[in-house]
Amino acid sequence: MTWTDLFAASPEAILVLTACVVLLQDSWTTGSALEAERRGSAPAWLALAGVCAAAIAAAPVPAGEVAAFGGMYVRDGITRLADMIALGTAAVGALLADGYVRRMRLPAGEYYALLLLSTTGAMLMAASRNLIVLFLGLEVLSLPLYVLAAIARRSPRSQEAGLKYLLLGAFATAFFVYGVALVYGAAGTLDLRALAAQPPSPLLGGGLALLTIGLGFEAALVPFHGWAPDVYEGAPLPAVAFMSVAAKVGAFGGLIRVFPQGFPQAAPAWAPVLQALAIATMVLGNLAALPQTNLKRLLAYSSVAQAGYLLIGVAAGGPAGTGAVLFYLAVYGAMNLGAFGVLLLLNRRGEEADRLEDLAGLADRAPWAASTLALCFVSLAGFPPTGGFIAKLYLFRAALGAGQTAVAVVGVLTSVVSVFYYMRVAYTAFSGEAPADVAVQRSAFAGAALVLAAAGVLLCGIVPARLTAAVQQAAALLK
Amino acid sequence: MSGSVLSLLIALPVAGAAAVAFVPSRRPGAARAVGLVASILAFLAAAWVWAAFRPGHAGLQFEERVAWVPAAGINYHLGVDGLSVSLTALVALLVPVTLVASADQVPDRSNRFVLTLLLLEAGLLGTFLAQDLVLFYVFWEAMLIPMYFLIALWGGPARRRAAIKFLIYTMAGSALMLLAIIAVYLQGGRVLGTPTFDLPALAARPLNWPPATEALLFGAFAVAFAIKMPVWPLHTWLPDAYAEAPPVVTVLLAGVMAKAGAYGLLRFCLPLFPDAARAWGPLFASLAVVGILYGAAVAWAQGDLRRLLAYGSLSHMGFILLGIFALDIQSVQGSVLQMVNHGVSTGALFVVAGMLIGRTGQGRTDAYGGLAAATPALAAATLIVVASSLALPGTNGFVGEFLILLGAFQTHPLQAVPATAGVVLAAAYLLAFVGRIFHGPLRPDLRGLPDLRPREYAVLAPLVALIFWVGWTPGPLLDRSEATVRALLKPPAVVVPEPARASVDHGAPVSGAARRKVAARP
Repeated sequence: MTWTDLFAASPEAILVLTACVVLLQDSWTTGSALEAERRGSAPAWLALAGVCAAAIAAAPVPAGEVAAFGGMYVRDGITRLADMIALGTAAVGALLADGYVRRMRLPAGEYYALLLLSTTGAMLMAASRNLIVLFLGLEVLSLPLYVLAAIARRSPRSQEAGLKYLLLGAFATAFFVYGVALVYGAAGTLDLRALAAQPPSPLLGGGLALLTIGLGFEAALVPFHGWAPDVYEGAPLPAVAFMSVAAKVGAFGGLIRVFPQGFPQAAPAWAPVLQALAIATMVLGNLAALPQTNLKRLLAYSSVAQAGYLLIGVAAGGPAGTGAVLFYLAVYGAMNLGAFGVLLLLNRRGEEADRLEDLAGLADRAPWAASTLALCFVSLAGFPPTGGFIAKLYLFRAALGAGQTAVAVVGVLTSVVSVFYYMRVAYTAFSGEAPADVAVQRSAFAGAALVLAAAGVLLCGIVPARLTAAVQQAAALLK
Repeated sequence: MSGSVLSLLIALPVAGAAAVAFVPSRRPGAARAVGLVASILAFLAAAWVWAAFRPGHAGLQFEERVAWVPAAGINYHLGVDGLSVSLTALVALLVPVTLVASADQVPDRSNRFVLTLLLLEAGLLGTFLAQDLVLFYVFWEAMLIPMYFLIALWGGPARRRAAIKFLIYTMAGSALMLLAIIAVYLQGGRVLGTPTFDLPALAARPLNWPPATEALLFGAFAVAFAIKMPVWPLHTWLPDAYAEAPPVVTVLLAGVMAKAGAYGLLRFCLPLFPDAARAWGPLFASLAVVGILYGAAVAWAQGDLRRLLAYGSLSHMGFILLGIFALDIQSVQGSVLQMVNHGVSTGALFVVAGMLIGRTGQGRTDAYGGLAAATPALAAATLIVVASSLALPGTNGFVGEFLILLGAFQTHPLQAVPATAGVVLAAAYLLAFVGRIFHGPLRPDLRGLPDLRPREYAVLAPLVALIFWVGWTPGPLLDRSEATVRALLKPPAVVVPEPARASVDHGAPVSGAARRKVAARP
């Protein structure tokens, strides 16, 4: 390891260091008591500072690409964008968590430390040019998420969610590692650039299929999505908000590294498979979301469906598809965090208020929160002038440009289906009388998070030129 | 002022909406005043554009063009030509009218109502001004959301179902149009060298489609527009939406939103897919005739005020569709004129329906009778509006329908003959409507119903004035659209030698070849 290696990986290093500092600070002030009486927002501030520092380290546009650690870790345009999206998610996630963590007396130090570590994993996945690094990233991403899902230790639902996530995640990990082993057996290398030169073989194909399962689990693609609704429903809301985006950033960062970059020569083989997966994911995700009345489950199926849209871009491959995936990830982060962020504000006698009818009359009490909610759901449904529309436009363009008409047609038709349940939520927030036992929690941190999310959704929709240029530039490296 | 007047036109309602958002909800009067000021300013801007528009020029005027997403070939490109100039003014006129009328009809949460209405106006104006495929789609979809909320939050008892039905139907149509837009973009890239979503650039050259592909993409566009218009048999969302929306919102729904569909057919389907438009024209003309007769017949049987008017509107939209696909100068001119006329007269009909329902709370026609005795001014205004809907000579409707039928007889006589029966049927259901409500003995429970209030005079006066003005002097409107319509109907052979610049001629006079070609028609 040289200084150049460390310098290249400084965003990740900063996050890991910050995580340690947050843990130490928390144990010094609380004496490691699990449910300390008095807590300030210091851990949240520390985490935010770390995220900002990492963002500054990740911000410079790399000239071409910078390879480190013997070419296993690479910083290029894709890494940079994925880093920025992951760090934005972490920042908004930390802002959203502050009020909730204190209200529910969750262990704050652990919460923010795990959040930072998980972010590191997502960034590492997008930066990997070697399957082993990809695997490391996957584990660093998902292990903290298992704990975050179970962090409300007095809540049996949360415990169950964590356990389910852990057990199923362990299966997926096993598939992934076995896939790595098969790929190594077939090619004798784990370097993605070297793999791109390999002739296709059955063993390689088998390995690739197993890798798809591992990553598909993390991305919640059908049929590997079974965990999502239960985990989303049981885990604490801020953890779900963060998890729903961070896991996608990592998984799709990995998917675009593995497929369009690692195995472009085998595209005729994997493109139809990914298209089929995308179609199944969009159809099942959207149909399953239709009858949901629990908002967390609804958003869980919605995020399954959104993974299907993202997969369109991976299947299309090439610069157009990869760019579309990156753009969609950025928008998806903003709109999902915004949607969960508003739900976080509601509570019923100290519990989460996550039923659809709990939203009724929100516009009369908190008009700006309700507007943000409506904006995020309108964006999820893909309507202009929000980022969700532009993002879908790019995905469909990539698919049609690659001659994949069927997946684009299913994409638009399932978007129409999604309008039904997304608009039902937006409508509920603006109609009816507010339930008496549901209170709206106001906090400056959450307000700032919602402003960020709403601004992201709107800016990506109204002035998308800069982000578009950035993703195109990043994806152009990939030939 | 002329530099960015079109952007200003869209920005005014948005700014108004933003201002309304900061008005405290306990002060609905202030919100309404803000909304009214914003929409009247927008109307003044639109009226200025209409007055300053130079007739006789086929191309775009008041063009604005800024690269929006250069990396993706998307431009912020606005402009008006003969197709859109009068429609833009119509939108800008109907919104303040609606706002004034809503004061009596939408009592609760009216701040939000004003805000949503202004956002809808911005979407509608943008739809008629956009000259870039993506920009058009953005406005086209963006107006759905406010309309959904206007129906779902302030509508009748079955409002939620009606609103979601409206949203799903229209979105299902336009979703496939989005794919077609991308396909046009990709093909345009192959033909022009640089992929672009810019409509004039794409329409300037034949895109050399294989016929099957052209038919498919034409279909994707046409279905989206046909749902919005609506065209039989894609109309089933319409009666529910028209009947459940608040009457003032129906004014916009029927008055201008439906026109966006017809406008889209003229703006996109004809220039982008000329061969398919010719090939499928007879089918659409036939659907138009079915719509005319079916709408009129069903309207006659309705016992609900607004459903009656809704089916009547469907029938009248059939004439516009027939005029478009007759593909004849006169008929298309008639359609463009009739779009404005229908907006005025159907809008006025729903305004009247709103006034009636606002007074009695009754939506069924048999709850009324002999109202002319109690509300003579309202009865007189209604009769004028109905006369315009019936296309009585002297009113605006006559000019439009006459031109449509005249043109259609030349190219599609088979469809034009039964369509004429629609005029007779319209007389039947509309006069029955007037008869059931205003004539006969006055029902005792309606005695003492107030006649038109000053505010309601203010709502109806401009509409009635327009009805007669256009009826007597349709020239200014027809002059504005003529050159554009002629250019639109040029056979593709004349289009080929045009220079393949990124943007086409701005307001250049129609080429002599096009004139000769048209003059040579029988």
